[in-house]
Amino acid sequence: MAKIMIVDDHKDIVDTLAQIVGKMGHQADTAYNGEEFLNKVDASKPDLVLLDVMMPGLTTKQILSKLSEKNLGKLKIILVTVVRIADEERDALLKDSNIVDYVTKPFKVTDLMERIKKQL
Amino acid sequence: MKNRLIIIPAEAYNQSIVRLIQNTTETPVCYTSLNKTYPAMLQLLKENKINAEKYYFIDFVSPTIFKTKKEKRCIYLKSLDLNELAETLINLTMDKKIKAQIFDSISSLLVYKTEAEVVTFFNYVLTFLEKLNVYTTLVCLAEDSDRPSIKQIMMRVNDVIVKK
Repeated sequence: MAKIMIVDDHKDIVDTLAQIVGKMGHQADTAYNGEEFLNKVDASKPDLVLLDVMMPGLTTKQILSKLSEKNLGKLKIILVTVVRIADEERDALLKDSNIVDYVTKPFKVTDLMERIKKQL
Repeated sequence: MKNRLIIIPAEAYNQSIVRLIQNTTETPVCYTSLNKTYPAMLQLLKENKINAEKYYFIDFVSPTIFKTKKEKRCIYLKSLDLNELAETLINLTMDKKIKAQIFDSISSLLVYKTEAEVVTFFNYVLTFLEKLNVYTTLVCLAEDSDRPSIKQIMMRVNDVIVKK
């Protein structure tokens, strides 16, 4: 059983993702913004993070920058977001950061489960 | 000049945005994006064989994820200060003689700003754009259509179009 941290400012999305994670037999931990995620991540020690891009407070760039200052090794992050980026931007993100996948909302549950499975 | 609010269901969002762009005949167009990066917009236009030369962009998303560089046809907003956004939008409209404005989307703006801030922002901006004769299209997600700010904006615009 893996621990997966869900970071999203929409409670309904967090609940849906937590249900998916639970159904896969994994443990879900949650945070509702970047600050809460950064405060919890050391103690939580997740195996994978599902991170929203559009949240109030810290930007994705700021979250990733502050995360890199922590001694967490290569923590895997899947971005789950409504934000559309170009293919070349996606390739750059996957190459240069802790981000291992990029899932756009609305997503197919089976597709997301496959992507999570692939990273564990 | 006419302005309108288009309400789109999430599952039909991208398709509806493409159709909206294809059907916008007034040029040049200013596309304000809070949910697509400038390169993603260029890719979308290219995939749909739409001439990007008639577009100017205001992009809030890219700086939140990537390092950005100066672009000829795009202004990157480093923060979502509504005064700065309004000033950027109005100045760009005047400088480039913009004829159509697409704001994508109010739903995205509501992630960062309060209902009251959103209503005040659009009241201010729409008044200017009307004076400048700009055909303005505001976009929002169907799931947000019952929110108080959207209800108020519905009363402010000339048309409300609900996509199925």
